[in-house]
Amino acid sequence: MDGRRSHKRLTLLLDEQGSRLYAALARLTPGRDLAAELFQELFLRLARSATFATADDPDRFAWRTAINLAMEWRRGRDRRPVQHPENYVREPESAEVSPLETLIHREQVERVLDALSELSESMRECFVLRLIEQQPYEQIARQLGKTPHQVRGLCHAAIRNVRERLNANHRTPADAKAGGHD
Amino acid sequence: MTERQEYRQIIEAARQLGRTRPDSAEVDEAVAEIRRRLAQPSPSRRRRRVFAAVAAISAAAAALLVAVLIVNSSRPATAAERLRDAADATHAYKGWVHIRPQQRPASTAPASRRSLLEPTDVIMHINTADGRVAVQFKVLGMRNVLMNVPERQEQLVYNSAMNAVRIDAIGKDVAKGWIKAAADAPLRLADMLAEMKKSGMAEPRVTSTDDNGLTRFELTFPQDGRPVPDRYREIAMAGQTVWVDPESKLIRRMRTHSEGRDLLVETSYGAPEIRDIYDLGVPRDTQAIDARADAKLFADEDTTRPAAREPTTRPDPTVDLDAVAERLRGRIAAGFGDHVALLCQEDFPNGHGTHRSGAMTLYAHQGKAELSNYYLAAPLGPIMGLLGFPPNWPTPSLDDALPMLKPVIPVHATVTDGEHAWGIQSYGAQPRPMVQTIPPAHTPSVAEIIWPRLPSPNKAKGQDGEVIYNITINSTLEAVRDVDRPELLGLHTTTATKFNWNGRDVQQRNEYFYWIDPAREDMPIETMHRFGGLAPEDQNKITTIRQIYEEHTRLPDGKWHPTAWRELEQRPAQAGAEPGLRRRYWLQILPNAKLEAEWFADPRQRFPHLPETRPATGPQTRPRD
Repeated sequence: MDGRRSHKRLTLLLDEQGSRLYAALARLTPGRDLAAELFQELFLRLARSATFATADDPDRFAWRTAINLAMEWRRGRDRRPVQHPENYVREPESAEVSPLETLIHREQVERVLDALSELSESMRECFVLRLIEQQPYEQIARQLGKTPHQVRGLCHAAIRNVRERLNANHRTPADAKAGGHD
Repeated sequence: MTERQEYRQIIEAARQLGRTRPDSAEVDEAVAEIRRRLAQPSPSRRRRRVFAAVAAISAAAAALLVAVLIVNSSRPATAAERLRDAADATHAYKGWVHIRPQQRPASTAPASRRSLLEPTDVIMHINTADGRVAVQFKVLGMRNVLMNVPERQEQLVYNSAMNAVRIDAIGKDVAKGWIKAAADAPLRLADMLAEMKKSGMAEPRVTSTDDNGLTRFELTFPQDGRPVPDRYREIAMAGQTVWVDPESKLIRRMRTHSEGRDLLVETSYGAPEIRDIYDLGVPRDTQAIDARADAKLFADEDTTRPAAREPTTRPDPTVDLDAVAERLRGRIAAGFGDHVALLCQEDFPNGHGTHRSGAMTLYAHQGKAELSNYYLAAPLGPIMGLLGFPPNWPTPSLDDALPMLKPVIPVHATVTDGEHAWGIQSYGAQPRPMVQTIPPAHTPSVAEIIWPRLPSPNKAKGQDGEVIYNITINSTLEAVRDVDRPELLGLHTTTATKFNWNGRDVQQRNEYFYWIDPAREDMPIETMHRFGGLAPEDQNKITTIRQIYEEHTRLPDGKWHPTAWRELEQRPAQAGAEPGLRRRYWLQILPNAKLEAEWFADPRQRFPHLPETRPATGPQTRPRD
């Protein structure tokens, strides 16, 4: 019974959320091939998950699993700079963007995402769903079983934690000396 | 950058990322693939169907196959088929491939953003069999040669001004990656055509002609309203031309369009075989600098454990902390007189020298004029239009560094001519330097990176405009001694912040140890910064950053300063923990060296197109005397 129910849920999830889930994975990882691979891995995990088959909110479970998958990959990989920029998800291009700016932007995004991978699950989810996926607070709150106010708080905490991690990794000597006394 | 600006930058980076979209064809394919897998019947039913179908289709298939063979054997290959054969043959070639790109400005291209740092005379050599890659190029008249040898896990870099070959180690995984990349390169026409087809683009129309012994293929893309991915838009509009050797079927030349410019790539195969970097014209008597030892410097530092050595400290209540704080403030205020200073820093991720990156900070003090300019740099930077490492890195002379720094906008800077001041900051998810006129105020000085700024435990008075630091609740400051280094003075500060989060009390703590040598003008010997949560469950999340000062020097006027130190980040072992940051610094202070007046002027005089942001509304403080 669970197998049929799971199959039905997977099909419905694919129809309703498939494109958005794929797009989210493509944003959170730096390669087209990787996004496709993680997308397949996501559905494999959902297919094998008893929790997914019986979850009250299968969409929420799927989103959480997708975000966790991307972050697992980030934590486990060798953090070299992206080797092949042409594999990156297509970004809104501007004739004014120089190679330097594009390179810095991509590196910055990678650093933010790497810092994000170290946060708690709740903070990560709120950050991704609100700031990257641009979902309204109310929708995220319903998904996470929290109030919109709590979601706002988690987002603020996530941004603060990301900032602290970025600052810890990329401080100029003056920043290092200034430390906590500014 | 202020805290608020940093928050905005993170939010903007996330929003920009959210606005990106994968190709719809790519999404559709991924979803369709899952749908196909979901629709597949169970294995047992699948086998029965297969057996039942085999007999039914085999006869028809056999007949069809025969028909196809007969038809194909008598039909000459179309231009498209011949081009595809050439693309496949080129992709399958094993050996040295030599590539010479020549980029020409298109007549309709906007005014060039080409900087003095754009590389010229670029030649690439790729060995598709064993992954060796070499690149030759020129920047500012200097010849550069880079060669990667994955088999030996080495990267060699030559610069003609430096007249040295630097050898760095590359990690095993990086070496494997190079081998794979070389095998997949070059001239990925075959892949590009396949990707175009997958993305739903119309197949190009291909025509062929003879062109001086080569077969010339023209690809034109029908403008039939079908969506074209952005990365192929220029090619789709301008078309592409490929010249193929009819004998070998290898691509010899390709014309394409990129960033508003025509790109012509000439390719040859086989000779010259490149055995080492000297086969690329590097003089054989060039000094070789083996930098692989640098990797070993960090290899012993296990940064997934907490700091191995904790000093054994004991408080020393006899030290007059007010006097020490006043003394340090005095050293910072006195500075080094008129001088120019250059701070070079380089990151060593994972203890290897590959993907080297770093930064340079230029400080200057000339009478009332001051500046502090921060630049990102990387030895391969010029290939991407970034700042490269200057000759004699990491201790370049001003003659080495200034010509490279001058045409480059710093990532951030503070500049004053004594009466006016300007700041440069980089904003946005795609950081763009912007300038603003600011009230003449404090300019970061090199002295501030040498001596710490301490809060005064007791004194709360200061001069007008002076920024003072007070001990506040939850902060401590004490003098300590290390039993193993009794000649040093340790300054131990802590700050603790407590707040309530979702009903839970959260405590964050910052702790500093500054070990200084009072016998040498309070030179820094070691600094340790530890931060993290105070709660028991947070004890395995504390991060420690150490700076170890290895060399110091004395200037002609007797003043001391550190010349080399390294920075390590150590985190406790966690699942998936990354090795800590490794960075080295080299500082040169040049008393009485001078910069030209234009360095201290409004940056827009050197960079007329530098955009302006809104005027600063910071606190009004008087200029430094």
